[in-house]
Amino acid sequence: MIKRSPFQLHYQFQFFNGHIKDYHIALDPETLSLIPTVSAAETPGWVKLGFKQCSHCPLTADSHADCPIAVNIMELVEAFKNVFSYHDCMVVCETAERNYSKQTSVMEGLSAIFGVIMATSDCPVMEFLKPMARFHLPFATIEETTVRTASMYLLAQYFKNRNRPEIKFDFKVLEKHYSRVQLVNEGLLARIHSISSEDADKNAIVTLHSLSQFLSMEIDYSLSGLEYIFAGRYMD
Amino acid sequence: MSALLKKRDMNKFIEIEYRFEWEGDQKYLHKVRLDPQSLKSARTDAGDLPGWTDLAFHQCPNCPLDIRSAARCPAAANMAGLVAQFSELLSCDRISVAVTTEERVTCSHTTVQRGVCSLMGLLMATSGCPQTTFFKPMARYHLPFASTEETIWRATSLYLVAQYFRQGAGGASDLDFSGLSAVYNQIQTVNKAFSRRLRSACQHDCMINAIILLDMFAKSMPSAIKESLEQIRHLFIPYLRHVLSSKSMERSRN
Repeated sequence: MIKRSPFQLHYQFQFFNGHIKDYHIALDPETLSLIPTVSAAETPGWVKLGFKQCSHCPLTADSHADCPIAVNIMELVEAFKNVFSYHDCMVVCETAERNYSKQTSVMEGLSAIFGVIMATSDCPVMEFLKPMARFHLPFATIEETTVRTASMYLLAQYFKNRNRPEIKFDFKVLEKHYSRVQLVNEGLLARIHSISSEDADKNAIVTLHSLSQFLSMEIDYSLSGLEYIFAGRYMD
Repeated sequence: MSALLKKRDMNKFIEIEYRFEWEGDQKYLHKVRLDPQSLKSARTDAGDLPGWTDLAFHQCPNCPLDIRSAARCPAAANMAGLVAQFSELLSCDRISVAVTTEERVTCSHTTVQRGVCSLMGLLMATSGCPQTTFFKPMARYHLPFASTEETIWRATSLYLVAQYFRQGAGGASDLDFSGLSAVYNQIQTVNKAFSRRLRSACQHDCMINAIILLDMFAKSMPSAIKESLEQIRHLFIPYLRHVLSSKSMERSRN
């Protein structure tokens, strides 16, 4: 197999006063894990695994001193904790294939970054979202996220059951995964709540929380609203 | 919760705007308006259509349309404005393309052929051409300047969503992608005939090369499927290793 170079995402927040904040993300092309930009020798208390650890976290402090997601968002939280989330700015995301941009709130830009970080930090609960991070879509709407998640999940089922053509598709396992994602969101919210002076990063998590809550409800039902897009196409 | 999804106003067109800018301050704006229900795009340029858009002119051998009911090739008619604009540009000239939708702006500084290829694919899929109608779900979630890897991922995963709906409707589902392979084989025939049409309309090669690029996607798909999507399988390795434990898969089967 050809040796691939890391997948790069470069986020830039352009404020109206000319101020700019950059954020770089690199993903390992093989494992799709986030490649840390700084190696923190000493991590703050809120990053430690035992600090408000998620109720269902399978990790133990023996093997993981820090929460793998918290370590990766530490830098982001530091950079943005004093930026008010309701401020508007231009958010640009540069990838190898194209640039995305949107005039939006700081919060929506942060949500997009948080989504990638959470999926690629090697948190065992979030692992199933890694393929989505590879094809990251900034500023995704709920409709886009529903279609992307459901289709990614069906493709994963295909790879898992290639030799069983009689497999019946459903989203039960996916829904279960999403209900666990909600607990991670809550755990992270508790962590971040204890550190930030203003509300940018906390609100970003709140946004993620509502998104995952939506998805964990009933993927079948949500998707049925989109059936018309597929009706009569590939179906007959 | 699904109310969030159903809120889409079915009277409101989905708009995708391509803005091209190139050397010498030249600009071209192409607006695509998709009917939210049928996902068909209406022609936005006025004026008479040139002869190369006649249905009978290099009609695709697999075209089910009849000249008595359709005077024009729908894909050609949809693209006449774009072709007129770019017929004199060279494929490898540099161009800036900005694609604006309700959700975001997507930009690329690229070659003319790549920029045009992206819009051409969208226009063909939504033109009402019966052979390209399968690509409408992809057009609805249009990804400008898609790479081969992205196209394989999107085409195969959206195909499985269609199979999911098919199972739900009580039909048999195709889980080895043979239906998708068939679609892409037909498209190769369309691309070949369509490039003959374009040859007569264009002085230079950029339109022809754009369709050759589109055809590369079409050609890569059946072989990717034959190789069991090996090109994108690596993305699912973490997923398969950690997530779908045999136990949870058993439960989902029952």
